[in-house]
Amino acid sequence: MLSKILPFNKTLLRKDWHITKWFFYSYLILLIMAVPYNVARNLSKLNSNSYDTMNNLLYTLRRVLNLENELVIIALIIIPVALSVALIGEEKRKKTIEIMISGPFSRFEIFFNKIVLGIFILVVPILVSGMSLLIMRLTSDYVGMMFTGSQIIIWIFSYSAFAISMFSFSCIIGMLFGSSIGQFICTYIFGVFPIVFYEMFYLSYSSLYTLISGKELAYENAVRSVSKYFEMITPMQFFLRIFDYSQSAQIFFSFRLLAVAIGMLLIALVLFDLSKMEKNSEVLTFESLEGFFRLGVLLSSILAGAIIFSEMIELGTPGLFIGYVVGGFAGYKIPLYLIQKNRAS
Amino acid sequence: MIIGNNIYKRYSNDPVIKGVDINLKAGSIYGLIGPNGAGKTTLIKLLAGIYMPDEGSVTLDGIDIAASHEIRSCIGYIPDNLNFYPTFTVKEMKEFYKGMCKNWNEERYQILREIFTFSEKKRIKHLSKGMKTQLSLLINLSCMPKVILMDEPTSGLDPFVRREVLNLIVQDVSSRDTSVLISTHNISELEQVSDRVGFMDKGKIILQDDMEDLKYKYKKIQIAFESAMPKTFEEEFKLLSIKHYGKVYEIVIDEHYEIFKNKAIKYNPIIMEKLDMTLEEIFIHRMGGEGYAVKNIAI
Repeated sequence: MLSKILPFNKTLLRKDWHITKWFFYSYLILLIMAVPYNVARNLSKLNSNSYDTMNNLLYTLRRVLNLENELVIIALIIIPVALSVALIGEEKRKKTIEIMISGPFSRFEIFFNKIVLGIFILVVPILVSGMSLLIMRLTSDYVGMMFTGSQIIIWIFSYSAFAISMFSFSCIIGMLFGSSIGQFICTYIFGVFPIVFYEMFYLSYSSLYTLISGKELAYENAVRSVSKYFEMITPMQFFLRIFDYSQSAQIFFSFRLLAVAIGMLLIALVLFDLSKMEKNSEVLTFESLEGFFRLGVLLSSILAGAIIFSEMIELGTPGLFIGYVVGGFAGYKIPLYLIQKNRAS
Repeated sequence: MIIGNNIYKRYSNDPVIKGVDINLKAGSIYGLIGPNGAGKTTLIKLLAGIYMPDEGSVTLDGIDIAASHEIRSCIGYIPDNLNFYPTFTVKEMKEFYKGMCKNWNEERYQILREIFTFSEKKRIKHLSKGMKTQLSLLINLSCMPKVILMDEPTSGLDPFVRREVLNLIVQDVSSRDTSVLISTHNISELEQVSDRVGFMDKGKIILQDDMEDLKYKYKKIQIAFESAMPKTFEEEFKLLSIKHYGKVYEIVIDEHYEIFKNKAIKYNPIIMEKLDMTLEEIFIHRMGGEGYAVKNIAI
């Protein structure tokens, strides 16, 4: 019934699957290695070791389903973005999207099938790993003691919600930028942009404050007090916050994150509908964003230049001003060059 | 069949297509000629429904192609830079198009397959540009579209395959009444197959006519007088170009030769001979007036 209402298209799904299947297999293998296989390997060592080693193994096992399992977190941060780049950015860069646009597909159909496949690729490996762990609970008392059924289900749910939200965010960025490399880099830049921009601004502010007033900036100050608002509007922080809550709260926050992801996908769809095909492979898909983009890069580059020259190269106060000039020059020239170089003519 | 009506397209603020009217009729081959950067590729993408016009419309059988994605399946498009998926094999690419085209003709594909030399197991990234063009043509002809838009289809092909490609296009037009648009720099090739020609320059179609009319209209005449060409002769006839080698003048006119001959006889020319112009000569002559005159630079 649902397949009759929604525009599933076998040709589009098969084509996108062909492009992205290796993401699915590598992600599946990685998650199986990092979760059920990791548990099974450590369990096999459990019986034959000393008390201390056992404690270490139990500690290791406990980490499997939380943020300390770095391999899973790194995969969850990289794979959804890379997948979105393969589905959107690469098609725009190589202009293969024109094949579909010139074919009998609506833009909604093209977008919908990409998103469905993307979500499938992101969720199924998590589901398989979680289900494997649930099956292991039935066969091993240790696994049953280590992980409750609800803990595993919440893990499946929250990790899927996180992966989908990263994917959706990257889809928006993919619609704004015309190339795959632009989409990949900008997903992370904009993912952390508000708080990083604030921190860079704060460093400059405190240096200038000391220079002008001759005293150190107090730890509690008006500018510092607004940092929490910047944290709140930082996408990556918002997505990662799901893991800060207790297990029971994670279900609610997963739903909230999924609702946000759906909202982001709708924005991406609107942007796709508004985009012009001649802008594919250009830096920016929408010309109206050029001023905003260039100003953003200019300001960020000025602040980053100040940090590089005053803090990293340790030139102190003169470095601050050298950084402003060098960063400002680079921040003005680089986006201008990139935009003009790739502009359609 | 496919009609472009007063089409305008801008890239940023630069107009690329400026008020183009074009009509591709069923069972005919339209040759689109123009210098680099004239806007040919943009016009083809507008006709294929890939780009949307800023003003004007493109309709196929009266249906706006911007509004209906279904109608776009009736248009075959062979781009200049073939944008196939590089990791696909020829067979996978064919399967993709087969799923996309509702009129896919497998029998036709198998017959045409015999002509081309590449293996179905070969990945697209391992095909040469010529092979990719062949594959694109093979797929498009098997899709049985009403209109085929081809952007530089024969560039990079060897003479044998080029002839084969043109032969297939002509056959498709005559057997199915397909409407074909070919954009190319190879004008002599176009002259053999197209029945209507458009010269494009700086986003406009500056001349659009049936091939026969065009050749009938433009004539090159070799004429010689006892002394220099009389001033009154020059003033009486609308000479589109004059070159002279000694006493012999080579002029281009755009009126019927017999009428010209009857009027010119009073100037007592010692030689007067009509020479047919090739399409390339007409193009170069026409574009010369648009500031593209061939510069004879000696090095």
